[in-house]
Amino acid sequence: MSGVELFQIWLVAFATLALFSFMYKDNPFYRVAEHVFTGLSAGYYIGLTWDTIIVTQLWNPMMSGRWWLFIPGILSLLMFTRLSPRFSWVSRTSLAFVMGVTAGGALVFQLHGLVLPQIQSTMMPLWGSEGVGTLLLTIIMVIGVISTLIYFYYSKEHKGVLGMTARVGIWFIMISFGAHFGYTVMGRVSLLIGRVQFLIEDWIGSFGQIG
Amino acid sequence: MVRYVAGEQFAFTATVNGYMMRERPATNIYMGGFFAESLLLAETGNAAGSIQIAGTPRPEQLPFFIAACDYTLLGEELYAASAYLSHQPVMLGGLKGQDFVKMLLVICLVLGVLLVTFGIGETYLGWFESV
Amino acid sequence: MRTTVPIAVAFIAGMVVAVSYFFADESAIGWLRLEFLVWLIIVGGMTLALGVVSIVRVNWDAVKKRKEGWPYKVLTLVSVFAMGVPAVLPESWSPLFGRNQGSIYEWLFTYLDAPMMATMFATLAFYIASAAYRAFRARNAEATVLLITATAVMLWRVPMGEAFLNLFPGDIPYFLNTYIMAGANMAVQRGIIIGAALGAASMSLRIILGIERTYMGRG
Repeated sequence: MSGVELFQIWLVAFATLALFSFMYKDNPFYRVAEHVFTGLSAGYYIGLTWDTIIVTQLWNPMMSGRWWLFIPGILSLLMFTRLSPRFSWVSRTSLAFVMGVTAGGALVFQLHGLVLPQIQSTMMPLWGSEGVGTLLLTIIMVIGVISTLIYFYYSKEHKGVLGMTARVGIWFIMISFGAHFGYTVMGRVSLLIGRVQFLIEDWIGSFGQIG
Repeated sequence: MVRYVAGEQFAFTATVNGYMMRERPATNIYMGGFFAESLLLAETGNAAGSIQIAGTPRPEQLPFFIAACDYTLLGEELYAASAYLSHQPVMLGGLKGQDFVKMLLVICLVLGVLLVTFGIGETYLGWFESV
Repeated sequence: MRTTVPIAVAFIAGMVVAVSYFFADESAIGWLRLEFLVWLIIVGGMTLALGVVSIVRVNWDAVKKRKEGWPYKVLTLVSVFAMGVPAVLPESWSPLFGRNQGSIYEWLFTYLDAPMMATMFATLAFYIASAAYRAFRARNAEATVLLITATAVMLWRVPMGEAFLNLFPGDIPYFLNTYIMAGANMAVQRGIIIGAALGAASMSLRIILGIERTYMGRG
């Protein structure tokens, strides 16, 4: 193992242990890692914005004839007026453009890309190849979707049939949250195993290389 | 003052977590789209002793907010909260409209299940795809 | 002027993108939508640059005024420039510049940024354990349901737990997989997604129509 490789392993080990140490309590090592992390993240976006946006999406296409891209170029520059309290209102136009396009896209996507497909997928037959199993699954699915929707129904007080359905909804919601919680736990543990494996195999393994 | 912290999910979390443990804020409000950072933030806020209110439309993060926060707005409650707090007619009207569509969807769903069960739902299902 | 222009811009941009959905990409409005999406990437991307400027400004100010913890802020500033500056310098000057293999940017990303992201992600295992401890103190009937489901699913997800569940009559793992995960869980996820989508669509409409304008701030 070369000196550079050894340094790299120790650097990663330091960053890993420093961040883990926060779980005990806040300490100077964590603060070092935290501040470096914030700085690197900002530096990462400098490189990314320069390369993938300014050069690839703006400058190069403008130079190849799409001159009208000067409009988003100006809107981008106007965004920086936000740094001055006196002129920050100028940046609203750029922000409004971002909000408008995003809202326009979301309006269609939320209805066409989410609501309709989710409803369509729930339209399952009550009777199928699994017999009683299909019936049970469809009933669970339909009652689950309807009662969840009713739980979030605000126009009328939750009394009578509406109240009962909403009550069923909260039971369903709790079952779902429990299931999701339980399902995620193991996935998160495997992530931890990955980091511990690095510390044991690579870092502690490198101890023999020193000296 | 609103302060930009980081664009990257975990760099943001590392900074905010450190900030919470040092400054010990009385209240933390988490509203909007959250991913894996939800629990990291909410658990740290809990350890810092803050009152915590969360709300996200992302169902996969809700169990974690429920476990670690004092109050959690589930799914669309996040959007309904502004109408509830402001009492603006336009906002409340929007909520009414949403409820109307919800009921319409419930009827469509029941009808769809019955049609599909009797094997005559092809055209109906196709309509949902073609819209 | 201060609010009318932004509202008009949001309206036009939003309507173009929403209405163009019903037209082909080759149509004039379809072309405009595709252009607007590129513009969004440019303007939205540049807000990240604005964020970087803000970070530098805030940290520089803290260092200059020797505020509490200022030496850490020096580290942030050094990290911003160490990663950011070589990335924007032309690769033709040195292989250490740019963002490719062998550059300073790539090295810092591989040996500091990425491992730190992975570590933060991994700490979730500890946090989920403490959250589970809190969630599992069954306070009422609903919380008890959450607790029972979570415990059963957790057991099912590990081989030893699954073996334990198989000691009981009936196929519990099959039940959990089919009726809880793919049944009740999926149903609730759908219900929440549908409701939240309706809420988001309603808010999008309010933004396009200029009713929702809190994003503009005051003044």
